[in-house]
Amino acid sequence: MNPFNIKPENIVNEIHEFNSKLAQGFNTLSELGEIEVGVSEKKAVYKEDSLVLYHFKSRTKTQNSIPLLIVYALVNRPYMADLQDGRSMIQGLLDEGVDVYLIDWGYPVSADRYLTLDDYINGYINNCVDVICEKHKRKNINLLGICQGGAFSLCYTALHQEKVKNLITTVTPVDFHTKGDLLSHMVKDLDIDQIVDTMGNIPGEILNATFLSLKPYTLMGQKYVDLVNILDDKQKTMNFMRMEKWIFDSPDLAGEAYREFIKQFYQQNGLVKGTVEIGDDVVDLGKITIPILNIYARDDHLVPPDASRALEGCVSSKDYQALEFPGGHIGIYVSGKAQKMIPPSVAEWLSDRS
Amino acid sequence: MSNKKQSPFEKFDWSDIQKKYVDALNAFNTPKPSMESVWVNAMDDWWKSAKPKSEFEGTNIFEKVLDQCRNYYYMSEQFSNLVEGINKLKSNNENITAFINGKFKDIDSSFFDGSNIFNWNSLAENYAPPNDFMKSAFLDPSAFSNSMPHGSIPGISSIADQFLSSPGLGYSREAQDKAKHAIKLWTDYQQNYQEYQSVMAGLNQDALELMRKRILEMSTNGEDISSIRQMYDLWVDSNEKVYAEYVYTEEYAELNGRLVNSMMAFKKQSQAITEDALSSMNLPTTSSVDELARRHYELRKQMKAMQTEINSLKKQLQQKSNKSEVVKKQEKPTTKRKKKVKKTVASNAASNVIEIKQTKKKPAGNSKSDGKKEKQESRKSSADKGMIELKF
Repeated sequence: MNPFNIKPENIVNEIHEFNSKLAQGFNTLSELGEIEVGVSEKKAVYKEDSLVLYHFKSRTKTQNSIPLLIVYALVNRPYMADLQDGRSMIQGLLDEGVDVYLIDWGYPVSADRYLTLDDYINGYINNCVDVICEKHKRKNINLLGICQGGAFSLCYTALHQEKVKNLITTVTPVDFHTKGDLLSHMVKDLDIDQIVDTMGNIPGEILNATFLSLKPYTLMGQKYVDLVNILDDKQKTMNFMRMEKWIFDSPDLAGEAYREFIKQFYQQNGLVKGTVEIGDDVVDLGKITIPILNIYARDDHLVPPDASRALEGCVSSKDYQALEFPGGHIGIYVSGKAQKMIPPSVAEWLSDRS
Repeated sequence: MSNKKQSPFEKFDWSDIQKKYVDALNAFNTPKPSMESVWVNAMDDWWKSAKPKSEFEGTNIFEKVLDQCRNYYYMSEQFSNLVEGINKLKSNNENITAFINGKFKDIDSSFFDGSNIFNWNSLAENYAPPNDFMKSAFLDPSAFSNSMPHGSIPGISSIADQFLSSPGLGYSREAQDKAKHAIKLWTDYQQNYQEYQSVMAGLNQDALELMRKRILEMSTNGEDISSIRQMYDLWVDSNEKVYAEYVYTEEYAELNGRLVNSMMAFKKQSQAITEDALSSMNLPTTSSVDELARRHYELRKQMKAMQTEINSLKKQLQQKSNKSEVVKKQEKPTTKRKKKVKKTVASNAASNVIEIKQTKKKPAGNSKSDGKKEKQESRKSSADKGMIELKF
């Protein structure tokens, strides 16, 4: 049987339609203007080097008395958690009465190449926590880590547990050697010392290319052919462009921190083995006893679910809860499904423990 | 047998080496075979006329879209030829299968000869990592990057090996050695790059084979393909599947590691040579700037530690100061109050009794003796506990 049910005239029509959309799309793109991201009103309350700590304006009359600090990853920019109206985890949390703070790491410059994980965790994060504690006259606050920021939050909690009341980790890698962890597989034979000694800070473009090479044909090709189909819709095109802006808005990584992170976490799998050293301290996740909510994405191609689920076996918290989101690594923050599921779940979990 | 002394250069085939050298030079200038397609050309013509003179935020993304549309058009055109060919056949399953097999065989062979109608190799190259980003991110301006080609140069490796085995001579022997080492590292990288590209081309072939099987399976299962877009999606999906299977292998991890490591080694060496040149001109080098950054970092870290220490001491001082303030406040009113109370007690016992009554909430006693006892207890109690109790 002929598997092609295509008549020549259909092909011509299909291509003609595609052409029209493409031509029209050029107009749509030229009319878009500036791509705005970050929807929620916020105020900078603390600055240190490239870092800015933001406090978001509340959207409810009453709020949870314990503030929540969001620790974002060093990779890409944190506005992904507040991308646009209706597609913002932060907006959702504010609507649920959570008092939200966010660390924006900024763009490291070449002078930052010697920053270590000690500087990030025992320095910057700790200082932010202190600022919030002082402002709210509290001894501890709630912490929410995103991806690599989740790994940082775990390290911070293991080292400064008295300052963390409740911990939420989202799409956070813990076991870096699970089956299906392609990122881990790709860096296993890399000479990280040589890369950092040669490059200094690691260019964001390299990280981008690494992420794209996980699904090259989809992410570098098909995605843009798909775009043509929505170019007649300004709103959808704008949504696409916001994501595109976020994907390629990649700060460089401080060289030493990159060296420590890739070697200790990815290559040596030190977080589960208890061998990660931050400054003079060894991170022992077993010391963590505070309540933990671990949220992971079922279809995550960057941090496989098993890599996150491993947390349960590493910590000593009796109050441990895992939540599976039916989507991917980014969808957990920006998809419509996520807006209905993640902020309410986090707010309720925190409320029960406040 | 001739007594003629053998030339030390006799073992070289100079004409062969010269030919390779000229071929290698030509390779720099030979453009890659481009995708010839009516639709692609039409789109390019349109874009030339439509492209604005000034750049705006959407221009870059549109260029990206057009790049992919070129691929899409090219592929669409080739598939439409395939469909047209099948439509011309008589409705005979065997013919159709044979035709599809033949067509895919043509495509498959194109990966090696590069001269056929499809030219799928250049299509697949648009997707294959890590071409673009490696060129831009790793091989940034250095002594070599602008002169070193990223593609392969046939035969250059053996020439380079021979050249590199000769020792450096004279005043600049160290510089010669460094340069030769850089060339050696570059040829290592080239070999790894060629191997990587070869593996990727193999994956593209495997993907085409998978695609062919899927089309035949669809034919057997009574499913059909009703649009060019469906074909394109099938091609993407087949490539992703084959690629994903391969990248999880140990072989890939090892190859990827070798490729990146050899590239880094070359870059590091070329940096060293650049630094030598800059140093000789008394210009700042990466190493010197790095050293400054390191010292700056150390100083800043010390300063932050000291600031933390100062803040901590300030806090302690403040706390002590606050404590002593409290003690003073507690002590001062106590003394005054004591005096006052004493005075009060002495002058006006009745008022004090009211206070004591409020504090103690003793049941009211009417007898005079009870009242006296109460007052005495109250005085004793006040003396023991300080005046805080009396305040209430």
